[in-house]
Amino acid sequence: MSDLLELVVSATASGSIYALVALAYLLILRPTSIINFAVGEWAATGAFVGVAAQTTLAWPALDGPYWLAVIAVLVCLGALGWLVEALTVRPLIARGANITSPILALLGVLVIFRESLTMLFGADPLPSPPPFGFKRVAFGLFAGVPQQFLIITVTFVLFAAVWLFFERTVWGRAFEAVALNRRAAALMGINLRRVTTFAFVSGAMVAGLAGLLMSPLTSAHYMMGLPLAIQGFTALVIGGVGRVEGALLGGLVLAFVEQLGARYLPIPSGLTLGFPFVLLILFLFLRPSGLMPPREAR
Amino acid sequence: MLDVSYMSGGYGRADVLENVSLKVAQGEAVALLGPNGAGKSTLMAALTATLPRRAGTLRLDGRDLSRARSHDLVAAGMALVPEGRLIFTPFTVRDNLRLGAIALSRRGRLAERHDYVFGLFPRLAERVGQRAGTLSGGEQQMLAIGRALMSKPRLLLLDEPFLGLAPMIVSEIVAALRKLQRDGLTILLVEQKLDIALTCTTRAYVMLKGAVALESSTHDLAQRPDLHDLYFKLSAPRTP
Ligand SMILES: Nc1ncnc2c1ncn2[C@@H]1O[C@H](COP(=O)(O)OP(=O)(O)OP(=O)(O)O)[C@@H](O)[C@H]1O
Ligand SMILES: [Mg+2]
Repeated sequence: MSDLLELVVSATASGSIYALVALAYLLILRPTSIINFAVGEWAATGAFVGVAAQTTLAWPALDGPYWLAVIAVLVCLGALGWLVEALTVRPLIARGANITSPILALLGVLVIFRESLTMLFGADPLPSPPPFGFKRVAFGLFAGVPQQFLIITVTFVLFAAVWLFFERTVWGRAFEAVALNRRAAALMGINLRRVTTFAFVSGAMVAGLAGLLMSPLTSAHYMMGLPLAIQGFTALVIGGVGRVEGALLGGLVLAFVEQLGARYLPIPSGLTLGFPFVLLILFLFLRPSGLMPPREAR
Repeated sequence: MLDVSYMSGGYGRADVLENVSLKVAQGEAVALLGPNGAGKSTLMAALTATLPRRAGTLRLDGRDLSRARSHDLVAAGMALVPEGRLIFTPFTVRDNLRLGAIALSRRGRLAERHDYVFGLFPRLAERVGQRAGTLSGGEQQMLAIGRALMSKPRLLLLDEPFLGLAPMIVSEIVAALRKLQRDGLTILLVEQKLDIALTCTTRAYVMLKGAVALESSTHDLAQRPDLHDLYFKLSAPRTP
């Protein structure tokens, strides 16, 4: 029983990370129709920026506190998201390019990010200091390391905030309006270019935060981006690309299937890496609109 | 008020619009007539900068807005009720109207705009919480017009707002357009049927094959024996 409860904590924490990456996809995908696979690398970048801010490798005197790492990640990733949008997506849209062009350009960005990370930080994993240590804590029946509870708390608070933004503010509605019909949104006086910029900046920030949050559990590693990109995308497909709540649900479903499968199914542990793909294919075939279809489809 | 000259443009390589020039004076209600495929909606897209490619000049109150983007044009006082309405069907009536007011600079005017639109179309007031997609066709058109009015435009463009509506709804909307005009709004109305245009405009342009073929007072145009004949004659290749 305590085994199962521990699994619940650990799966909820992993699921939260997947959900954050799915949210990063979603923030960009909804208003622009662009699937940005570089979000995985952005998460890795967030992890490295966090490590760098807390353990300035050469000068320990400059080591920053955790809150500084959070700010550094948000500022750096926000700036990178802005830069990537301005340099790759905006020129293509301005020339009236097909929607696949930015997606391909962003795959190029993915490679650039990965190679830059390897060059800057090397190929070895860098340990990332957990803000609340490694000592196990328990909340009622649920036990885990503090970082897992931090991940879960931050994720749920962030999802609540993003949900409120989309459902309750006029700018959130404007984002949705752009997703529904770009032309009609432009006719309302919504500045499409500004919405696109905001989508990339916020998407990069959320992805970076995901990387920062998970890095104490996994270390910062240049190869961490691709699995995250796949898991986040799978979470997005499971939840349905339409809604914020879907990303959270999708992340949790994926993580629980992964961990329950690894624990109770008689298959070699290496094969659990294939779970996202199996779920991805299942959902694409059987329920392409996901568990929570977009509003317009209901 | 609106001064368009030599506007050209289209979707792909080939131009749909060829050197379209037209003027609408302050307070005037002008009709833009023409058969299917004449390029009326394309012109509306060009005027609101949602056409991928266009050339020519567009002035609003003397201000050169030829290179302005859609949201600048809304801020400058131009609003379009597009062909097919393009209301946000999953959103409520309230949210649709709120989005129409997104370019409104001062927050305080929002309530005044709501009152104005609900005064014009009381049916919308009864349905603020309803999803726009569940409104009747006539109500959806009222919402599309109301939403455009939320930005407090000085020039209102309407692209075939009466299409597919019952005569009673048509007269209700015509009455609303008349009231808007009395309140000082300048109107450019795209329409195919002359009899409707006659009820709410004083002057008309006739568009054929992407160009303005004729300009006349709506009244004079109505005196012509048959407009469809005219459409045909104007579009037929000239014989030497
Ligand atoms: N999105 C588009 N892509 C390519 N061509 C288009 C597009 N929209 C319209 N056209 C073409 O442009 C021409 C003018 O079309 P437009 O819709 O402006 O006509 P219209 O006068 O509004 O007709 P209607 O009265 O039927 O609405 C047509 O030949 C049409 O095929
Ligand atoms: Mg048309």
